[in-house]
Amino acid sequence: MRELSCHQLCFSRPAPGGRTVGILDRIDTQFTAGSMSVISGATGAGKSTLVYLLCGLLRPTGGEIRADNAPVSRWVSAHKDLWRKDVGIVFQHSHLINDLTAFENVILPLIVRHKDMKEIRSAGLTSLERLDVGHLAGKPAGKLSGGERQKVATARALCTSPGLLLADEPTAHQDDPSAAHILELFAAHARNGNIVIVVAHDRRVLSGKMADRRFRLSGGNMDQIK
Amino acid sequence: MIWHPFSLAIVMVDALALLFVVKAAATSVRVAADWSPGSSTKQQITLETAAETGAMSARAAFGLLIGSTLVLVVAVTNVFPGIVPGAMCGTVVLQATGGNGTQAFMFKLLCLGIFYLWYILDRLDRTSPDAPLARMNAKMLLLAAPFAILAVFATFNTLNTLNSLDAHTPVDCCAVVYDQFTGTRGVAHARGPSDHQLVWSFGILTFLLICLGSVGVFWRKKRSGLISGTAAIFSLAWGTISALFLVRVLSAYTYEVLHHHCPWCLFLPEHHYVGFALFGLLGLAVIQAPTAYVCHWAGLAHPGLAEKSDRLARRSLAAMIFFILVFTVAAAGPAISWRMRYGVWMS
Repeated sequence: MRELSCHQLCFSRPAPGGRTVGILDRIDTQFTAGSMSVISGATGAGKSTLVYLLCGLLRPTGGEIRADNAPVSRWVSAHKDLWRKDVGIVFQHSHLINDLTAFENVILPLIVRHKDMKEIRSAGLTSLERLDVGHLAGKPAGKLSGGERQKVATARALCTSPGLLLADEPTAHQDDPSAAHILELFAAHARNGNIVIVVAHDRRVLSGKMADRRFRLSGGNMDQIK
Repeated sequence: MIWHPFSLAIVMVDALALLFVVKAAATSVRVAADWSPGSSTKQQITLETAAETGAMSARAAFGLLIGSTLVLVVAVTNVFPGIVPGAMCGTVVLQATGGNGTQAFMFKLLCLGIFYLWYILDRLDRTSPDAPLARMNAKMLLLAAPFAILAVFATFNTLNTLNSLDAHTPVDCCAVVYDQFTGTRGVAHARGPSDHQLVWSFGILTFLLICLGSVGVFWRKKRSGLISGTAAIFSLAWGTISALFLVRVLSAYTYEVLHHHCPWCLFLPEHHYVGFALFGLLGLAVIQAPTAYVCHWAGLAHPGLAEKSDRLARRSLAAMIFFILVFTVAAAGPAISWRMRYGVWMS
């Protein structure tokens, strides 16, 4: 993926009394391959909503999201699902399957890509080891700590080497060295010609020098601050 | 009076299908009127979501209508003869409904045919992410909706009539057959084309359709619309002639009785429910050429889909040839077997 852009992107939710609450209001921006962008904003500013919109899990209520100039946000589900194969997501709450082991969770996105089992095994273990959680491969996800779960979720997002990586608060449960390591992995992924978008209000992310561009979400608008 | 469980099942499934049809039709009206793919306004995005859910509703309605039609055929042929006095097969059951039953089947088949064409177009539409056939599909759904509504109401009337029958008045099943022969006009109507004419018509139309289908499948040049359009017209004629040929000529070899021209007895267990397979194959064979024509038409309207629609049209024509051959073998099998065993045709 060379470019992801938002054109007059709007999102609102229905509220009691037949009203609608606007969350994002006519956002125009673009993210290019090879760069890492960080989006910050107060709690409830719509950062996670923006991530869900960018990865196609939510449909905008106005405007569109274009990937390489194709209006992916308006595509029918089947095509959006195909496009999403090139998207890696680190969810704020990890969304691991508790009954599966860390390794099984990581290789799930590889299985649906119909890759060779040997290749899947190797990619899964490599990805876990890059996050320093290789020793947790056989442990059920339900028995991992919050920080470990987040690392496994990051390994799952990175193991497919996606063209677009979206991370929602990826360092929230990490100590300083782990947070720095995760951000370094993201920056390396961006340098490999991919788009990386990190949404956070963690000061370590905001003050770090890894990000090429910084945005701030406030009042439904997004302003570039770097 | 308490309704028969089969009647209740059909009414429930039909009512559910009707809800989905109404939902899909309401969306289709909006899509047909306001679809604007170039715009990314809130109205268009809402419409895109509605179109997707509308298509899901239409698919649900299609599936439910197929299910209710199958259950209705099973009920008319194998269940209701038990509650209609003197009935041995679906013929008397339909006569007892006073024309409602025939109407119900007619509307249901028409509706299923249009829904099938819509389903093919919807599949074609989904091959492209920007849904170029959305407006065309909406119009197709709007065409199917009135037939679906009529089919559901005719089916309800059919079941209501059967439910209010006086089960204590004996009726002779043979009266139905004799009713057809009241006066010379009736005899002429019942006879229709001779067996000889039916055999020749069936043979010629089958040969023509196989030739047209083969040309459509293998000819790489243009004018495939002309071929599939001609095949569509011929296939409708072939369907009518084949049904008559099956009932008037070939069924004798299944029943092993001459002059029992009843289509519904083919659905009975003593004849191994062969009617389901034969009429099912007949329906599948008939719908393929119109499908090919509709695909060709969609390809012309949207050049971006030309290659895919052409592939689908060829596949439909190939399927038509396959179903025609399978139907011919299945329908004529008992006759050929009879001829080989006894050395004569039943005529």
